[in-house]
Order: sequence, then C-alpha cells, then structure tokens
Amino acid sequence: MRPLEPRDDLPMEILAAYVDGELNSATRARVESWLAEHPEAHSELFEQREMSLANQELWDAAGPPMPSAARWDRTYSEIERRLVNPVMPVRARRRTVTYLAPVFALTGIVAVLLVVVSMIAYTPGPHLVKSFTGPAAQAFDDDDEGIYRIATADDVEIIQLPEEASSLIVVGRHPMDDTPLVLATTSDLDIFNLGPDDQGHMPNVELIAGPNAPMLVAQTPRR
Amino acid sequence: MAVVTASTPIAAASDEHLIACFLRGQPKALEELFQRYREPAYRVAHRLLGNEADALDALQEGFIKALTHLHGFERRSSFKTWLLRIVSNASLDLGRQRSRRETVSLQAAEWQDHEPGFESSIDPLLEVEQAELRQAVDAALAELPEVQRRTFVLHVDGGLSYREIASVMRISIGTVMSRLFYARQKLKGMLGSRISV
Repeated sequence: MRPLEPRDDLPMEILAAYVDGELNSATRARVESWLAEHPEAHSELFEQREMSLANQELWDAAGPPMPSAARWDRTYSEIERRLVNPVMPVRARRRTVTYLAPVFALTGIVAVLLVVVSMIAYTPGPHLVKSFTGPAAQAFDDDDEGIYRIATADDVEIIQLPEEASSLIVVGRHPMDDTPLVLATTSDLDIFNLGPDDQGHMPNVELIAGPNAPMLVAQTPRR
Repeated sequence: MAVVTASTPIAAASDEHLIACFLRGQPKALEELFQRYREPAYRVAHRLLGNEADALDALQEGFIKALTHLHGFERRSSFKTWLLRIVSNASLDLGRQRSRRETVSLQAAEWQDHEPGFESSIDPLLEVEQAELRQAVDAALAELPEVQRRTFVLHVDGGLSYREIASVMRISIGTVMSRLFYARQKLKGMLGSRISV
C-alpha cells in the first residue's frame, strides 16, 4: 500500500480501504486529516460507504435466500458420500503401482496364465479371441517398459474361478505372443475405485457390450 | 498453535484441528466444517451464478475439492480463504459452462424451488422488495468485469479481508483496493437511488 505523504493528493482507492477499516492507524489518521481539508470529497466517501459492508442493511436485503434445510442436508449428504468413500485418483494409483511394480507384474503374469489355462481347459478359447475387437483398456503408464497395467488388485475382484484352476500355479511368459489374451469377461469382474484424477481426466476404459463379452484384454508385452 | 485435547467440543475446535480429525476419518469434523462455512460459500457462489441450484453445485464441488486437495492448501491462510478460493473458481467455471439464466426466470425458479411445506417467515411484501433489490444488485454486478465482480463478491458476500482476497486471487493488496473502489463506483452508478445508507 502506498503511504500517504502530507503533500500527496489522496488516491481515491484509499477511500475504499478506509471505509472498510483496512488501513493501519497512521494511514487512517492521514485520510481523516485529508478529508477534513477536502469536504468536497465527502460525496465520494459516501458512495464508497453505500456499497461497502458498512451498509449492512443493503447486503442483508440483497443477499440470496438460503436453501431449505432439506437442500442443505442433501448437499451435505452428497459431499459426505463422496469424501467418506473417495474415488482413488488415478495419479495416486499410478504411484502405488510404480512402487509395487514387480509384485504386480509377477502377480499379473500368474493370474493371466491361470485364467488362460483354465479357459483352454474348459472353454473353446478361439471363440473368445474372435469376439475381441480391440483393446478394452488403456495402459496407465507408458513409461514402464513391457508392463501394461490394466487394473490393480484394488480395482478387480475375481468372483468366478474354476476350482480346478485354483490348484495351478504357473510362472513364466504366456505362449501367445501375437494373440490378444482375454483375462476375464464382464460377468467375472467388478470394477470399483475407478475415477477421475486431479485434473478430472477419466481413464479410458471401454467396455464391450454383452454380459459375457471380453472386458479386460492384455496386449502382448513390449520388449 | 492451540492445544486441543480429545475432550474439546467439536464446535469449539479450530479449523486445523477439524481438518486433522477429518483426515483421521471422523465425519463429525466434516459436518462441522460444512456448518461453519456453508453460508459464506453459498453466498459467493450464488452471487457469481445467480441461482440456488448452480450455487449448491459449486459449493458441493468446492467442499470436495478443498478437502481432497489439502496438499495444495498452504496453511498460511485460513481454511475459509482456501475454500472460498475454490468455490469461487468452481462458480466461475460453472458459470462459463452454463449460460447465466435470466434473472426474472431465476426469481420465479427460486420461489418454485422451495421444498414442499417450506414457508418463509418473511413478510411477502418485504420478500418481493428484497427479491427486486437482489435482482438489481445481481444485474449490476453482472455488468462488472469478472475480476472486479469476483473481488467485490469475495469481500461483501464472502467476508474476506483485503489481505485474504489478495491471497485468493494472487494479486497485491493495492490491486484489491483499486478493484473494490471502481466496482463500487460502477455499482453505485447503476443502482442509483435504490440504495441508501
């Protein structure tokens, strides 16, 4: 704030601050002294006061009507619902995934092979592969060589798994280098905790229509 | 920093304490923060948007963003300042997305929007006068440049000091002073004799 010198003419902006009680005591005293010497400026001061918080009656009357109690309650309930069950931002999940990348990579490979083996054993695989029309989900992080992370364990709940497959533990690269691999269908998986990141961008997850259509598809790892 | 014990009534707790409680998962802290700041946040949003439904949307988004982006909250300012900054940003964003509705239809909508069974305790004639005044003030504010309008609304409806507004808008106190001065001059010119001290 520019200090007032005795010979200065009063910058008019200072009047607004004076009316609002935002000046320090020294500047306030100088403004009062200046106003005493310039009675013609009182109309300006009056205009500033009329539109300031000092005119409490005006702002009380011109204020918006408050929402009803029911509207406040509904608004609060929605805030509480979204904050108490927050959507985990994609960015945060990416950090977690990066930190636990080796664990997720190994777990992912094992899970993929388990499902593939069970499908080969109990389901005619080629039918499923034929129905695949494109990647259903984008990798979150293109910087991680060779690892496509479609979802983490936090995002996926496996609700169907053939009993026989649970006894199999397979470690290694899957054998179908050039063929898309169906991990699960829409009837096998629930996705939750998937929401916008800090910038409001949603992950690009495309669901293929149909109750048993391939939903999550792993692409061939880049090497 | 104030020492707050576990037995401190939540209504007497500082904002800082409430935020810490909220982060520990205590919903009562969230409720208290909402109760504490919903009205200034709503007034700012309503003045920038002009209707209840949009104002509540902006308020809701503001509270959620303020509490989910606490890492960006520089504790040098108050939570209220932080919240009003986000609510006013959300209001301006929303206002750009949805064209500002005609004030006349707004008034009608506001009156129709009251919950069933809701009855105002205000004299109907007084209510009409206040609605007209509000309409005039809203129309005059809408004529101001956005930066002046936001500065003015944060001060008058949000109750923020010059220093707080400077922090919210990342401008100097001198600029706040200047914007308020010119905003008031224009408003007085537009509202004329409708107002008096």
